[in-house]
Amino acid sequence: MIGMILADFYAMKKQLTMLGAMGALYLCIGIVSGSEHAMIAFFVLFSVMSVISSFTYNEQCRFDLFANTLPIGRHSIVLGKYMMAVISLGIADILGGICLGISHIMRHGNVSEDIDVLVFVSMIGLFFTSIALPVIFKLGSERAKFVLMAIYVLPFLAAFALTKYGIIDLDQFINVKMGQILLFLVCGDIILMGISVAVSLGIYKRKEF
Amino acid sequence: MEEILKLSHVSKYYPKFKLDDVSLSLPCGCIMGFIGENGAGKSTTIKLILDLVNIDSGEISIFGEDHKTLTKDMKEYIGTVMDALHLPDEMTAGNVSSVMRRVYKTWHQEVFDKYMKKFRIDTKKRVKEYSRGMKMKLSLAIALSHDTKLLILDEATSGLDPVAREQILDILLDFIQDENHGVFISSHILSDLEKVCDYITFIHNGKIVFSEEKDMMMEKYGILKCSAKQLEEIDRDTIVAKRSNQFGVQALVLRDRVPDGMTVDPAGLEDIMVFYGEEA
Repeated sequence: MIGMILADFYAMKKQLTMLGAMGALYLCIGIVSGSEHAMIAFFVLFSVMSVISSFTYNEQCRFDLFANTLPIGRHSIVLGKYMMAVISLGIADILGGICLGISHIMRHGNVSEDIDVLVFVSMIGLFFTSIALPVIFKLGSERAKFVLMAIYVLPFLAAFALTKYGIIDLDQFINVKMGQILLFLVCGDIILMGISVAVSLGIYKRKEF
Repeated sequence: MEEILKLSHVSKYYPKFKLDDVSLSLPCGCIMGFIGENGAGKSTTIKLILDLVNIDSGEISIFGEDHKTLTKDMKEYIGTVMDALHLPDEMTAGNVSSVMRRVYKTWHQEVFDKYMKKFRIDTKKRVKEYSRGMKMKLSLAIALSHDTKLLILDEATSGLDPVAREQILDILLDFIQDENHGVFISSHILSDLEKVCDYITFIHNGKIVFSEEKDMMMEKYGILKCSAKQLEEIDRDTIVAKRSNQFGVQALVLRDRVPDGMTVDPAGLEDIMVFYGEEA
């Protein structure tokens, strides 16, 4: 599994360097402008993108064909992707934490609120990753793009529609029930991740190359 | 002789193609050449051996074990060289060895370094900057830098210059010196296979036409050039396949059954394959 994670990082050297540079830039922008919460969202977005991109790089060179001739089980290849997702998200959280920490020192913001935002955004990222990975394992990164766009856009459209037609007051809902939302997200994400891994393992086990 | 690789009545069905009842057996210490025209089923057979595609019926055993239940430790003994290097463009040979060190328990870095030096591959260059020959050599170096006992090559020498091909063939001959090793190689370059193979298996339209010892096969078959009338006088069982042209008839025949007085030329692998291919 470690070999597969390393292979992904080597494959994406160029892209990760670019993302790293953009991350550093956004870190500075976040600290200077006080929009650190938005920057956390970018870091998490980059982390999700990097995992999805790793599939594209693998497909371009048909790396799976080679990887499946190695003395590693198919489960190692699948788990390697999930580990990479967790590592990427971890790096995003560290960057987010640094951004918040420096910003807090400069502006003395609300620590609890900052942590809530960090956890909330990370859990949303983990949620989307858990949905995306089985879809990509099944369809490949090219065909999965369209399905994933629909999956990602629909919740936002739903939230927008619910708010626009006054069915819920999203701002108030989040402010009042943030603690419960976070607990639900963390527990839900752990369960969803488990289901996602099981589904991906099942898909990849039967795949032909 | 123990078999390092055995396929028994293996079949695989696709909508427009069927690999039908494929059986072959590779003894230890031998090189088997796997030949057939494009689309005959060579790569499909190799993918079945490597468990890259699912078998529909039959059995494949490697080192005496079912290929689906091979342990990770046993998979360390299989080295694969495909028709292309399926590694990300941005990786270098140095990155590759870094990955392989963590994948193979029996990885020998010094052996890999030796091959990098022998093949003159710059370990700092990215895969996308390598020529086709260098990519194939890197692939072979990876396959030989762990405790490989069974080496499987799928069109690995295609597109290589004669010097590179000769280098690879020498390495195969060196590899097979160990009686516990085996090589299964598919190739269109039949002259290469004639040089190094002990066994030849010919596949045509998803079916095995023959799987025999190379020397016996070359002794068995011959090319008879004669007129159509002369050919009619020969027992039908002697004629394996025939081709007609404006000058007469050429037939692939069983040498020991041809009547005395008729000249039979030696048949090379290419002749045998072309005759069988046209006959079908």
